[in-house]
Amino acid sequence: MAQPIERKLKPKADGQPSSSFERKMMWLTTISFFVILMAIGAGTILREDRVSSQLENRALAQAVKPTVQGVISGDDMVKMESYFTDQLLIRGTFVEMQARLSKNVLRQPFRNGIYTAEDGYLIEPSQAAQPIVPDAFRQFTQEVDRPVYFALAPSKTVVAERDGIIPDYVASNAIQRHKTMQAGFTKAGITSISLDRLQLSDYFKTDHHWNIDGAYQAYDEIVRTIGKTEPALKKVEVNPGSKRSSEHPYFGSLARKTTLAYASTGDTIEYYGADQFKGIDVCYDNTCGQPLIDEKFIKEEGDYADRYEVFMRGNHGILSMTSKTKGPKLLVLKDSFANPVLPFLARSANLEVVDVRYVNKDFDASEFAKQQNVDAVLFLHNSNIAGLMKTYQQKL
Amino acid sequence: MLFSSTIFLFLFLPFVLLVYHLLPRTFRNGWLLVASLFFYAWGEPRFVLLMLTSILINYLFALAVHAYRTRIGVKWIMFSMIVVNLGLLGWFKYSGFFVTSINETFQTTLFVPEVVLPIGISFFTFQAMSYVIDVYRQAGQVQKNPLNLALYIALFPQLIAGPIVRYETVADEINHRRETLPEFAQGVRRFIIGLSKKLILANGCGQVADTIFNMKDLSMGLAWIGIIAYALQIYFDFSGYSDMAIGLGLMFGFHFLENFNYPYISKSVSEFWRRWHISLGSWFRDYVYIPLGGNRVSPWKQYRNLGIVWILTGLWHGASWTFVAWGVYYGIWIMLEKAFLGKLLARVPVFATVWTLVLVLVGWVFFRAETFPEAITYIQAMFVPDVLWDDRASYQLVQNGVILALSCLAATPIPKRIGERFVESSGKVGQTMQYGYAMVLLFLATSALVASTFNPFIYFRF
Repeated sequence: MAQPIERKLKPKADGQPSSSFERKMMWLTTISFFVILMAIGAGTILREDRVSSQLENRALAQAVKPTVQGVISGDDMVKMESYFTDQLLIRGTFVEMQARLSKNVLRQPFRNGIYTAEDGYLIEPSQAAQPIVPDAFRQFTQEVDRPVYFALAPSKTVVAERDGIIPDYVASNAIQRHKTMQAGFTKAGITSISLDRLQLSDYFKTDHHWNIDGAYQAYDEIVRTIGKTEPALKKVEVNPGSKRSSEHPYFGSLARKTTLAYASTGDTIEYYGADQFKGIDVCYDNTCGQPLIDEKFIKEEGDYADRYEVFMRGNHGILSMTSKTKGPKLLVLKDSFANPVLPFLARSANLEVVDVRYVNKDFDASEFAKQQNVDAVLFLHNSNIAGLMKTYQQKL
Repeated sequence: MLFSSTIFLFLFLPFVLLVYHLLPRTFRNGWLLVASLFFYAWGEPRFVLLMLTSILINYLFALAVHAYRTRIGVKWIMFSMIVVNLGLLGWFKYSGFFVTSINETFQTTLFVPEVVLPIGISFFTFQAMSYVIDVYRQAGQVQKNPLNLALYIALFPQLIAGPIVRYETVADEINHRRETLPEFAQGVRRFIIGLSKKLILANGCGQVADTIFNMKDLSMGLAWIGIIAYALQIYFDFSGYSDMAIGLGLMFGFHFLENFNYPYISKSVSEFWRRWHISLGSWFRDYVYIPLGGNRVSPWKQYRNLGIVWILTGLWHGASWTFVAWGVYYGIWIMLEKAFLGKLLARVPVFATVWTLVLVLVGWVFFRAETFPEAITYIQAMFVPDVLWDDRASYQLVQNGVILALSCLAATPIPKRIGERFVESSGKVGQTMQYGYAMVLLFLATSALVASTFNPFIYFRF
């Protein structure tokens, strides 16, 4: 067996510093190291704990009350480490710094599964199993005994895939899944409202939602299709001059996943002023007169403020939008994707809006439609809703 | 506790360092021992008792060896010491593997004990044995104070992932050491470099390796990217940990031996093992190979001795037949090099480097794979693939090409040599850059630690 060489490799001390400058640098190294570690550690302990992180869009771990059993098993130590890491001083800065390293030094075009296209669009390619439209949709269509429509917008990934923006080497079957879902709804007896003409420019660069132009196109297509059987449903034009823009840039859900390093430019969130929607009474949480457009969210400080909540202050289980319109009464089953469309649609019809993610567990959509005596039912989603199918199976 | 955890970095380490350097010298060992036990207890408190038991037993064995050195019975004391230590290691690390192997071989249904592996047991058991053996050989003084022995075995910088510090290396420093500013600053830089190796390079490469090893139907390109990424991950993971240990040692006045010396530039497998996990190789050489007769016996006995050492090396790394195969694989190549291959390789140094690298990469497949069929399938993809290149390989190359290239470069002595020459030739500018470089790395490593939840320490399972 050959002789190891470890003896030659015993680390040698630097020896005595050869100059006062060298000695100063040693002091600087030692003190900096110590001060940085101490400052971050002490700062983390002394600072008030935060409940959630806007950047990461999640609740942060909270202080742990140790138990004998938890300490013996080591579980409490694991929780304490999560707590300390989550609450770490300048945590957001470290996360952004790491993202900048990934983008600018390691030249990684993907971060957390999100691809940065050359024009700044953040795209989330995905390869998943083909979705199955549950039989509950067919049963619902039969039970509700009213026309049922499905406006299935292509997800941003579908459009990017269609336009060849996702590199060839990235596996993504979003188009295939979109088509499978469309076919499933048609098979369930639901009339399809095609939104396939949407372009990438109809979506936010840094968020998975569509922008106001995409939403307006969808409104146009919905009115055109449903209007064929409900002639009272007519498109009401908006005044282009009342279109407003946020002063602060908008960094959406995909920016949160990639950080500002990747979402360098941000979006401008546009909306029509509340004056365009006068006479529409918005009710939710047992209170009417709720704002349809709430500019508080537009003016909010913070890079990752959720400005998309400008529309009806976000999602609500059941929401009604009524006016003196002569249009029909529609039940809209939706998720957040529909929010910018609803103000337009509320000028053409009276709406009962249900987000099945936030209703009681015994909610029954077909019973609700009958109770509300709606004229038609509209599902309004983008094609990335495979995860919602189980909920629909229970609620329809 | 992990070195690469926020609690260690921002609470434990600065607090322990501060108190240590404020205390009078008399109390420093005591403080370091308390801190080390807390460090070990943080992850698995119940195993502190096991470690303390091991320390106590070996303390008594060493006293007995010292007292009865000249009598015949000393060999029985040494034999008992080996049986007790290996018994302890065997029960916690190998009992499940042993019984499972019997059940599979003889179709029996013996009860398979489910024993939790205490962190670092392989390291602290070997260190404890090293202590008694060194006392027996009079390579180090017997410790009358059990707290000093406990400090040697439990010293937190090297406790759970090495390097395996031999007693003779630090025996004098336990009671007589000097902490100096140059060494402290050197330790800080070394620690930061190790932390960066682990958090930036090892974890970056580890994500690539894990992704690819979890895939099926690999193309040739993908298989090679995967194993290269794994080779880099394991090197930077373990050598990074050793750097951190050495750096921490210097901050407390200890001098641990180097554990790695650019192993991937080796020109033979024998050389690779003189550059990789040096402390383990020298432990087996001095405490197993040489006592068996080493090179001073007939050629066949030399090969027998090598076979024993390499089977044990494989087993030390893990209780699995794939680890045994990995050890045997290296044993065979080292025997061949000893017989004739070494002389041939010496004539063609460039080819020898590439050849050795390929052999090492194939060895890592056995090390990484959970089962033999998995390893064979992977090796087939590397050498006799169905597909040469696919989109998944392109993705890995585009997404991770830079980190892999940087890691390949960092695995050679080139960056260090360039850095040293720059510092030597550019005077104050160089020294300032050296300081700035360390601080930038500290922030980058911390950002990687905070941002990433991907933080496995491969060597902890040993």
